[in-house]
Amino acid sequence: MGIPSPIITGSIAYLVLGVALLALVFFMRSIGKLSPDDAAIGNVVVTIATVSMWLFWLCAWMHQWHPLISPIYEAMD
Amino acid sequence: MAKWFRSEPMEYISIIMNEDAAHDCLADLGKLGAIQFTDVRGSWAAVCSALNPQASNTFLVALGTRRYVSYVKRCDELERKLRYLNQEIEKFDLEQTSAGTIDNFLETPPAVASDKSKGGGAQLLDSLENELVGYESQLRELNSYSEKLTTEYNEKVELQEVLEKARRFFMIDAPRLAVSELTTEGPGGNEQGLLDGGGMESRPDLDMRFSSITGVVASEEKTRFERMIFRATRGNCYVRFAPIKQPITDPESGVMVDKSVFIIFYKSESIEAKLKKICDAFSAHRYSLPDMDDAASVDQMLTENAQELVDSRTVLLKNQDTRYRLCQMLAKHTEKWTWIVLKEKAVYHSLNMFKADVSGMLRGEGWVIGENLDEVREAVEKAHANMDMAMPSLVDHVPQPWPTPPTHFVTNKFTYGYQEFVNTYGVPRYREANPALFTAATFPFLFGVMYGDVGHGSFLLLAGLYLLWNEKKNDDAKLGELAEGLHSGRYMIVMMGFFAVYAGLIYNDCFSLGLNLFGTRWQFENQDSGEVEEGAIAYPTAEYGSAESVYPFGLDPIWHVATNELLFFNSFKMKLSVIFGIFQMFMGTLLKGLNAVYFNEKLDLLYEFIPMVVFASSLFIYMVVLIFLKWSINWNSRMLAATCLDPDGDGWGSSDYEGDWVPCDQSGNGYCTPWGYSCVDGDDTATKCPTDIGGCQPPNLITTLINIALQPGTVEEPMYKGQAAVQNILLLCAFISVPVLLLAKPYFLSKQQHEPITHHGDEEDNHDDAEEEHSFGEIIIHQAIETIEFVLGMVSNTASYLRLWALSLAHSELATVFWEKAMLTTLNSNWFATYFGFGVFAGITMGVLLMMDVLECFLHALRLHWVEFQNKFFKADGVRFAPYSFKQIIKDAS
Repeated sequence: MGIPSPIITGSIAYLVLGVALLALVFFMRSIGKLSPDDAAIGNVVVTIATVSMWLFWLCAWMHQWHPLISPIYEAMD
Repeated sequence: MAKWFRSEPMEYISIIMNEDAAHDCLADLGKLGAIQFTDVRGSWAAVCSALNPQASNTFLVALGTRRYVSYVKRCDELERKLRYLNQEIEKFDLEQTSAGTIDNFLETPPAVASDKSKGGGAQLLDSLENELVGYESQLRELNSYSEKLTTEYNEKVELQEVLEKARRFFMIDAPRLAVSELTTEGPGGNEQGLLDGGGMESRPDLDMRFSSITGVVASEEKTRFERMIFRATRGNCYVRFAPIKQPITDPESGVMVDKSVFIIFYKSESIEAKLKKICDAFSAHRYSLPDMDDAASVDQMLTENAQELVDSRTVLLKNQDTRYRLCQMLAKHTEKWTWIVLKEKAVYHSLNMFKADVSGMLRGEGWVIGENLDEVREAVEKAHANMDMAMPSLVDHVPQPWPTPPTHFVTNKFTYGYQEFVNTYGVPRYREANPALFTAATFPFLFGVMYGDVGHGSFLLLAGLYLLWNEKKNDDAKLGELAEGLHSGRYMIVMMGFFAVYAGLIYNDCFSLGLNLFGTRWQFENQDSGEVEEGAIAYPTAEYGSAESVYPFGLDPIWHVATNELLFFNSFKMKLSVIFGIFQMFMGTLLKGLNAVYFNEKLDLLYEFIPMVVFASSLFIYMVVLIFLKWSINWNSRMLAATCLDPDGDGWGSSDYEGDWVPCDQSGNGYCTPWGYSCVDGDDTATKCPTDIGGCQPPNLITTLINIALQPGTVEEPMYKGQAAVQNILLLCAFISVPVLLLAKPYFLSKQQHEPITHHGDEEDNHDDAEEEHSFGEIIIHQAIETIEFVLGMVSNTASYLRLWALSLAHSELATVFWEKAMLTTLNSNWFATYFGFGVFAGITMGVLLMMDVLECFLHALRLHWVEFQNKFFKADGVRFAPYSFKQIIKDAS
């Protein structure tokens, strides 16, 4: 069946986001606004946050991929 | 990894310094704040000084007790004096001038020219002491004068009133009492009233002259006073009152009281004593007046008193003025002096922790932050070099073994809050993995999962950004406790807000409404005309299971108008919570492994970490795999594969079935399954399902998981082929890992302990064996607790993560209710109701969702970290590093 393309696209998007944030941390370190220790902390935080956000999105996507129930309309009075 | 991952390396050093240089040396070390002294004097010295505080210094020194106690006591005295001065300054509502920032204060050298041969510091203390003693005595003198003067002044005020009122009495009443020529005039506007004729005869009878007592009594007591006098004298006296119009200050209590002047006329001397006692009982002040006949002397007394009053007031004001100016001058310096005293006290307190070594040297030990060892060495050498004669000093490592090192983390404004969170639970052990590093990312994230709303989250984000905007201003300002807490947590609030917004986008919840940002993937019949039936079922706009049928980011907004919304969301959020929970706990277990590797504990690594990982993976990571698997399987296709269809009917050949349609021989009841099986009446799904794919029904995952253990070998609704066999193997792995976890480590530990025993003689064997069994029992118990905690914990903690679901459900339901009841109903009626409805909506959203719910989600996210995450690896039995630092001491005192 293969991996559906939105998953691939989405994952690449998160990967790019993560790399961009890591680059931001690196940049801040190179201009001296962050000390090397603080940059290391930044790397850890960025990595964990990006992975968690990707996982969150992935779960939401996959839950709707093969739904077992369909929405039933609720009329508002 | 980051330095923050493990606590700073510490070194245990000993410092040997010269007595004379000691004070300056310690003054410099206090600025660094990198060293924590251990008390090398021990308890013997403490006991001695406690038992015999009066012993002379030389005697105590001979015993080896603290020789700087007297200095510390002097500092205490100075502190007391400064407190007194501050009190006086506050009485005038003057503000102490700030002594600048603590850093500036520490950098400037003391203003006293230090005499290099004698300890410079002792001089500083002496000169400060002299100054403060002088000021304190001056202030005390002025204060006592002020009190005395005030009392006198108040008395004079009362006397003035008494004189005036009494004169009026005598002007009107005296003629009647004394001389008979005056006719008894009628009342005629005389509010004092007449003495009625009863018992009074107007005849020139000098015997009828009355004695009088004059005084002042509080107006409240007037009636009781009068009654008491009447009873005591059996009505044989005459009392008159005249209220004083304004309240005057009572000389004794200093409080403003309403008073009345009274005058008692009585005849016999015997009741004089009684009356005087009654006056004293009512705290009525008596004043002796000259004979009222003599109007001239009364007048003279009046004028004299008036003059004295004026003089007294002038002196009083002058005294107050002097006090004020003195306090004003003091206010400029007290904060600085307080800091100097705090600093000196700290220096002498630390000096007390040193021990006298050979001739004139002091020796002390302490923990120093590894990085700052060179700085410390430099500071000590510099202090010694500054002395007139070069003196030797030594800073060196104490030979191993060292006691347990304290834990120290270098924190900045971002990491401070998270480190405090972890420290509140327990200070990390020296050099173990610090959970705070991971908490910095996962805590706001889990908060977001629980809070999950774009609208409310963005308010939180804005609040955090506002705090960041005012960062510089708030750093220096003096804030209340709540504001201080918010300020120090500003980065945390920003991150919490950010993740709350992100989770809100994924849950598609903005003030409880869904956002249709990418186009919903479901349609209702007749939805364009706006006449959708109640209970209509939506149909997907794209093919089932295709890439386009899924809303690209987050959950589809159609669910917000569906009756089975909660069914869908609950399933999603529960699975999500469990997935996050198992990953976080697995990460915790991996940290345990990292700790075991770092501390070279092979036993922990092989016989605790590995079984734990095996147990966790075989059951719980497998559950996560099952969740993802169930999500990935095309259930339409699978269910269709087990459906009996008419080969010639419309349903045959639909694209829903992913395999090839194979017509069957129709030998049964004429219907076929898509894969070519001839249906027979009464077939169950298991028979109709093709054998090579697994199952044809979406299984209940909880049932599946429970049946791994309860029904090994049979899987009612399998998802993949061979599921039963795989699950059996996993169960076996988990089953084996538990006894390994329980027994392996104690076995190897006992083996280690047994080895040295074989070298000893027989007599020692029995003794050692007894000891050993005692500790072996402890080891077994400890390990049993670990095992039970881990195994049961794995199950209960996974369930505990369901609070992520519960709180996000609570939040979304509350938001929905507030929206529907306060806004929707009023929007549908008229604009006036909407106006009020919005007020209610805003108020209740602010109070319940923006304040209470933030705190609640905060608390539960914190609990998840403290309990579920940290109990996988965190020992938390460390000691916090408490450096000898002036900055810290001054900060703590203010």
